[in-house]
Amino acid sequence: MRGILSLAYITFIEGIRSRALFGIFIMALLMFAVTVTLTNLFMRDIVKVAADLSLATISFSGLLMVIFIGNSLLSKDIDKRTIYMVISRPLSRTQYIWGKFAGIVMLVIAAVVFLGLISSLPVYFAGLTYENPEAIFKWTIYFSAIALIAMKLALIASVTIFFSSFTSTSFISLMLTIATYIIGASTETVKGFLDSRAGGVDISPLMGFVIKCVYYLFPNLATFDIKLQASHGLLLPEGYFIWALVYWFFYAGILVSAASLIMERREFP
Amino acid sequence: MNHRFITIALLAFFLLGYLSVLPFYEASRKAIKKEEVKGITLPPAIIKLFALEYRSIAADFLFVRLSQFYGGKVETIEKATKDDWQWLHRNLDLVTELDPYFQDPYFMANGFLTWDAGMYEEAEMLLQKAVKARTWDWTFPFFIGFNRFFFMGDNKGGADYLLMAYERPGAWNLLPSLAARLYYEDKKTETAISFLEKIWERESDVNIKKYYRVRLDALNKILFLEKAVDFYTEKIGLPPASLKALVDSKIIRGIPPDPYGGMFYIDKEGKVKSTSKLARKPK
Repeated sequence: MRGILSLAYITFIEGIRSRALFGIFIMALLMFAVTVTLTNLFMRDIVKVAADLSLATISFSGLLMVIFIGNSLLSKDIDKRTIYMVISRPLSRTQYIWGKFAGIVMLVIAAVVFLGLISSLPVYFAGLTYENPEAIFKWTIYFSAIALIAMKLALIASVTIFFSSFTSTSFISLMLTIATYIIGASTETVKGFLDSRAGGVDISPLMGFVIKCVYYLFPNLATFDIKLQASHGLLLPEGYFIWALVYWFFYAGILVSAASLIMERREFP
Repeated sequence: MNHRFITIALLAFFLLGYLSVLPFYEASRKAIKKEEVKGITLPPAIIKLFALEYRSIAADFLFVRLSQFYGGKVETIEKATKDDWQWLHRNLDLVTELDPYFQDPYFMANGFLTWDAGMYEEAEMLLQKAVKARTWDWTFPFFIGFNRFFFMGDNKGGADYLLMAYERPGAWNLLPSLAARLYYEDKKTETAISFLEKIWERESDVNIKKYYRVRLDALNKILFLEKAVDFYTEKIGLPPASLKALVDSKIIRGIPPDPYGGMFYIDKEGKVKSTSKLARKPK
């Protein structure tokens, strides 16, 4: 356990020091500044628009962080052969994988807390500019949405770790992670079309089967997307957060343990 | 020749070239933009798929695009054709599919698809979405109630929607008495004025507020003339043949001008109307 924690700490520090992180943060800060200007284009639902923009910025910059920095934190070890330094130490490969994962999760939490606090400023100020009696906005739901974004990013981190465990270059695992993100974010919509037969399109049974397989195989990232509810202050169904957490726990757990299993058997040239 | 000179010459060449082609480039961009000002509207299902987790922000940006349409065409009523209105309707439908809780597109639908475009059913279809999604909001059943009564001549349906609005929190406390007036099909102009006063009061956009003010002005003038007609009918025993009869019998000093630029007259059924049909003339 100590090995995992110290590795997590090192990974976290390495991530914080990454220059790309500053670039991503600057982009996010600019987006929050732009939010204030953009909300002027709307008539009534100003807080909604500010919340939309803020949450989308957190989600998008967090995604860039996990995909690029998270990926480099693990794959770089393999790419640049620094992994030899690690595996020659009294630390199992399973510990190594879990330590890396914990480090990236710590990085995600730190970044999301930072961005979340800053993002609440434009939302707060937008609420002061125009009073809209028919708009509902609740900070609790807003911050729940941010917590779910953090969970989503941690899940993507586990995807990155899984792909890095068997691909030979960081570029391939990067591409696979991006593909998984796109599939994960749209799989529920596609399954929705299948279920409702939207647009009167006939879907062959085989295609239906494939879509269903994809739905259960890939992470359903729509679970962690409650931006719409957050920007309109809509109440979440009871227990939603708990079930999202359970889903996250098991899915990420499967990927990280599978990654450590693959790593244990992997031979380095 | 030294390298530095070549580099500077190259830079100067590219810079000058860039500056000199800029006007041509912009003209071609403008041409293509004119083509795609409206562009095609993709079906909501496709946009939902491509927007990934950024649906509500996609709705926001689409709405900004629609506001530009409003600024460009509707404000001047320049050449807003049937096609333009249908495009507006399709896009409002799309925005509200992406984010059914978004207030602004519904206000836009109510403001323009009814008064200016005359697409009452399409407007109601959109407003129904708002009624269903924004269950706490009384303004949208109120709008449907007004449209049913004023444009579609469905007083009973209008009154039902007003009562539905009244059951929602924060509703205007005069709604039940308005609904009662609708049930008895009484005093149409006065009812419309009370409705519009409320809508005007709630509107925050200065331009739309002005727009409602002109309508209120016109309706108040019609109300004034209607009262004069009633007075004339009571006094003489016969309805006046024209508005001029009111002036001749010294009930009113003159016929007020229609703020929409038309002329008020009495139609075959004895109702006060205007040749402008209370629609803005192209500037």
